[in-house]
Amino acid sequence: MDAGQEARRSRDLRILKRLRPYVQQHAGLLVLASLTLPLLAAAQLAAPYLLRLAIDRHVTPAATGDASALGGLWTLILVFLAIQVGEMAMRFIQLYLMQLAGQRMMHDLRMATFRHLQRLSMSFFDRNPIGQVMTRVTSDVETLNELMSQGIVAMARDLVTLVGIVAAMAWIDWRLTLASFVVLPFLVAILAAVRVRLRDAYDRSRTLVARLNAFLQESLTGMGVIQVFGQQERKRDEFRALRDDLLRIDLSGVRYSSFLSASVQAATTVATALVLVYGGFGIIGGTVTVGLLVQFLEYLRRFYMPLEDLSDKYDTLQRAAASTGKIFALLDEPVTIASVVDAPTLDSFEDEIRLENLTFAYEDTAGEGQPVLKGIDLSLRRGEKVALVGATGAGKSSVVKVLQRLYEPQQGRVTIDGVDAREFELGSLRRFFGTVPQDVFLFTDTIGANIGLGSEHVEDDAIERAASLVEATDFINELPERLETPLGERGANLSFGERQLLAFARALASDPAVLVLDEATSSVDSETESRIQRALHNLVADRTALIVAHRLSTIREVDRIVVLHHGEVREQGTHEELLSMDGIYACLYRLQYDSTIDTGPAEAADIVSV
Amino acid sequence: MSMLRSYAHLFTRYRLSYAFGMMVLLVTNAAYMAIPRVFGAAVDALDGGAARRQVMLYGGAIVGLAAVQAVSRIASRIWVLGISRRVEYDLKELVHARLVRLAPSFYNVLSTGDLMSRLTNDVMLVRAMGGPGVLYFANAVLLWILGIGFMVTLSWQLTLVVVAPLPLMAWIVRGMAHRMRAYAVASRESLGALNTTVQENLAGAQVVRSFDLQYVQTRRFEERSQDYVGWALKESWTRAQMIPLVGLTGGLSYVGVLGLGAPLVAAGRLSLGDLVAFISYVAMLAFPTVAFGWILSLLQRGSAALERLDQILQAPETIASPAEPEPLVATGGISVRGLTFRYADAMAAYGGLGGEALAASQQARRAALLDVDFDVAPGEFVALVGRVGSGKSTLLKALMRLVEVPEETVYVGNADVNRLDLSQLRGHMAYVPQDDFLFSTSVSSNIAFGDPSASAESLAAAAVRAGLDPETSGLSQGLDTEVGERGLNLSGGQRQRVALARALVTDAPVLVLDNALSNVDTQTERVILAGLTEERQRRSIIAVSNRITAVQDADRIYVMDAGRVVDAGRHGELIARPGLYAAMHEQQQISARLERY
Repeated sequence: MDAGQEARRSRDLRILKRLRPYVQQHAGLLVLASLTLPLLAAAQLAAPYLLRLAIDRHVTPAATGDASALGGLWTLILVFLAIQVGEMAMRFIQLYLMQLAGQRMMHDLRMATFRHLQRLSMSFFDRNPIGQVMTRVTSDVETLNELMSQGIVAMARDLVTLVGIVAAMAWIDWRLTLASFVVLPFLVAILAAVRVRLRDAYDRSRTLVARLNAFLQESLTGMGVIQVFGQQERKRDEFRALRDDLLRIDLSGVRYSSFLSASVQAATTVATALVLVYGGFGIIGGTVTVGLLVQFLEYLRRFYMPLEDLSDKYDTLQRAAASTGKIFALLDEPVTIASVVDAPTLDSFEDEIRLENLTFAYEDTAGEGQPVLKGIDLSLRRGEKVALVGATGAGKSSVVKVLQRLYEPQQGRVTIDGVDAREFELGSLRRFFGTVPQDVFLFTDTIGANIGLGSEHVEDDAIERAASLVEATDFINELPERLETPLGERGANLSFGERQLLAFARALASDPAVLVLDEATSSVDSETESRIQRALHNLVADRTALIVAHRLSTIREVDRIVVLHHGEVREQGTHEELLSMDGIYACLYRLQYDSTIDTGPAEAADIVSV
Repeated sequence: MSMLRSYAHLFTRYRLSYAFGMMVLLVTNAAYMAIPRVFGAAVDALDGGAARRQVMLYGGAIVGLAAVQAVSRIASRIWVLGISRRVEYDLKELVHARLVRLAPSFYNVLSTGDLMSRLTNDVMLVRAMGGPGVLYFANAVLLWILGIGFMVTLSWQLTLVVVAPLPLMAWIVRGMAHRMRAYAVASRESLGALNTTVQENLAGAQVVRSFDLQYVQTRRFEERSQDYVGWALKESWTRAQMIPLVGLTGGLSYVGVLGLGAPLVAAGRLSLGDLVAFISYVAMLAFPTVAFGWILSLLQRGSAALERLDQILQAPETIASPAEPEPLVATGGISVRGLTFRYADAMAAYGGLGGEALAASQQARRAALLDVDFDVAPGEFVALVGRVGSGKSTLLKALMRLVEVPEETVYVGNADVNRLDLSQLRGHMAYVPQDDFLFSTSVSSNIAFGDPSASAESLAAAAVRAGLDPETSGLSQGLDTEVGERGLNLSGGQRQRVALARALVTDAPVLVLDNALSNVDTQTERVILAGLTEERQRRSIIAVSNRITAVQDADRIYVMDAGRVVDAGRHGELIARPGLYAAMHEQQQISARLERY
């Protein structure tokens, strides 16, 4: 065994130790479950003893003609039966309690992981693929359940039983005990030697499995390229090569584990022979009875059996350690955006919201990135409607995200009536802004639930009110169960316009102080377009609103237009003022809104993306 | 179970090994079950006043049995468990082999994550069924048969007593297995709902934060988790009963053997040693009996996993070579006539995998291509221009049959692509896809992917032509640079150039570029494009681009909008008349001006 593996193992142990608080949470159940351990061990010890009594007191005398010896036998049998029933009841209790503790612990760990995920900011999700994070909450937690239900207590049970058996045997007849365990040192030596190799095989197999999985993952992602270049055969060859390596390792693992389990069996059998011979001498000498021989035989069986699946247990432990490590790595992920202690909630504002000298960059995995906002200053007075325009990549959506503290700016701050936004309770700050994001995300739930979002800040009638205000009621009422109609996955059964209206209603439902709207860029037919325009008009009426605008009609709704260019505020004013400046806005306007150019407003923005 | 039958060949191809494994298993179990007989005989001998030497003989016999048992046990395990590993990889290969043949539309229906989980977890469940499942099942059956055989020779009455609880046990196990299956199904569904909650919470992370839904989401997650725990515990409740109950029926056998055996011994119809042997048999048969419940669950989970794998193995191969392909005349000429294509039609083929649901979406129902006519003469440079989503990429894919092409619509070298050999057709084109996917090897291995037989010189030459000059490209170790997972060690522009080199290294008569230089800076792009003019001596070029500057030299430019070809001509002709092209051209000029601000 090399040093690296040794280190890995001690790390595994360290990781498993971190589970302690979760285990302690259910200490009661575990204590209760472990109470059954001595009882179970006692029952394990008692059964062979009763067999011995039955044989020595009743059967042997009866065999030699003493018919009356059978007299007390049935009492003994009933006691035996009672102990069996008791043992099985204990076993049931133990099995169930372990599952109960295991499942509850999994629930706790799942909740801890999920809660922690809720506190992580968007930048975490930019860095980590969803699939990977999902695995942490689902299968990794599930793997730990195995450890709980099959690992820990089963090991404790085996240990208690082993110790109990040795103690009982030694107490009864230490010489016979010695005879029973003469083979043990040999077995231990074999086990130790084989287990090192077995661990090795498991470790190498795990590495190769990871490589094979990476290969498969890559093949699946790049299947298009593989097919286009006609490299299917080559990929199959690569797959076969990996498979052959893995198969070789796995087969050696099978060989070692077979050897291990066979050695345990052989040891049991040889021990049986030794007990027979040495016990037989005792019988001849009159120091040992047949019953005692049977008792020892039964003990031996119970002693060696748990040794057999040691290697499986080791494997379970390792897999659990790997999963635990990944889960705790997630739990260690720092929470970068949070409320300060005792932060006041933000419900309304009197005067204005300001962005002051805001500089912001999306951080890449190395923690660095090009700034997308460079020293932005922007104000939004109560009751004012401001449009944010600019080419794709100008930083418009980033302004919205920083405003809601979805991301933390590297420099500068957002103030509300002069107070730093970071001083308010985070949830209330975010609710303060009712947002319509560019892509409408719908949950697999009913229409109504998608408007209200299950939030305790939205009352039931607010959902209907919001829906009718943005004129979504028309299409909702045509649905079979109206607001109660369930949406297919991601709202697949809705049209783009309908989704947009739902997003509007959603933003309105909680009656936010400020509306923040990131207009979708998709082009739609003119009927949908006018429906969305009407809804948008109703949406922003009598409200403070910041709109990332892509549509000419939207621009006409606002009091002021702010032009962003390469992350800076370059121009500001009304539509007419800006046009007359003949600068960036004029360019953008011609690019996106000029009706003489026969192109939809939508994809224009995409074409600009250079 | 029928699923098992249709995949029996996975296992039966190893029938000889299985048979050998079973034979040695029989030997090992026979040796194992003979031990109580020897032990019992020894006890009887002792009872009759045997000498030490005799006892030694009996002990020696047992040691001999131990040796036989050890050797044959190792052999049986290696054989049977070894087969299960082979079955596992056979199955993986079978699925992999299917996957490389399935059309891209299949991958739109089933996500990589889902496929991976089937390839790993489900295959492992099948292995557990074919290995430990088979081994322990055979073991249990053999032990019982041998046990009964040995016991009958001692006393048929006591044998009956030992066997009597068996039907009771079978009945208990059956009832419980039935309930457990119901709970397992419910808990899996519950787990599915739990996973959906997580999935949506993560995919909608921004909405969740924007609307301050963390608390609501956590509560919902907690409900789902509790529901799942509830079902899992119901399953455990039953499972926890099963093992002890089965154990208890074993306990009943003890009672029977003692209660009935002792009077038989007293009556002289059974020896003391025989009774001792019987007691051993009861103990030895307890474990295989308990294992039955576990074997049953292995079998159930294994066949459910096979079902999920079957969905992949049975998925229709929507794009395949015809049985008797026509020869491809390598001219570089292409024509498309009246091509209409909807993604929904392709997805609907994958019924059992949720393809219909996807096909029902508006996006998929839209015609991605509508009555498209398109021509490339040999040696021509043809460009496709249009907005995002106008069908340009889909048209390129149709030329290579990367989408399901209707009969008599797309012709390459004057033959319907559906009648050409697939690898020949694709080998006819050197494609640079929009998604610049690279394999996690070196730059040169990635380039060689286009032509594995290419020499180091031609790889280097292709790299230079693609703008990957080792001096200027910024690759730390030149062509030996490792690109990392999905090529993430490289910049977007570098990745695109590697993908271009991968296509250039082939000698395919058609070069197909799908927005191949969108992430390359304008300066580099110009150099590469200049190099491509040389390429035009050798092959036809079809290029999609969002930048008109990149394609204005084309012999012909097709303008696409909403799946249709709305205009075609040379750059000069197109900008001269009002229309989408002129508008886009003007917009791009304004954008260029905007960039200068």
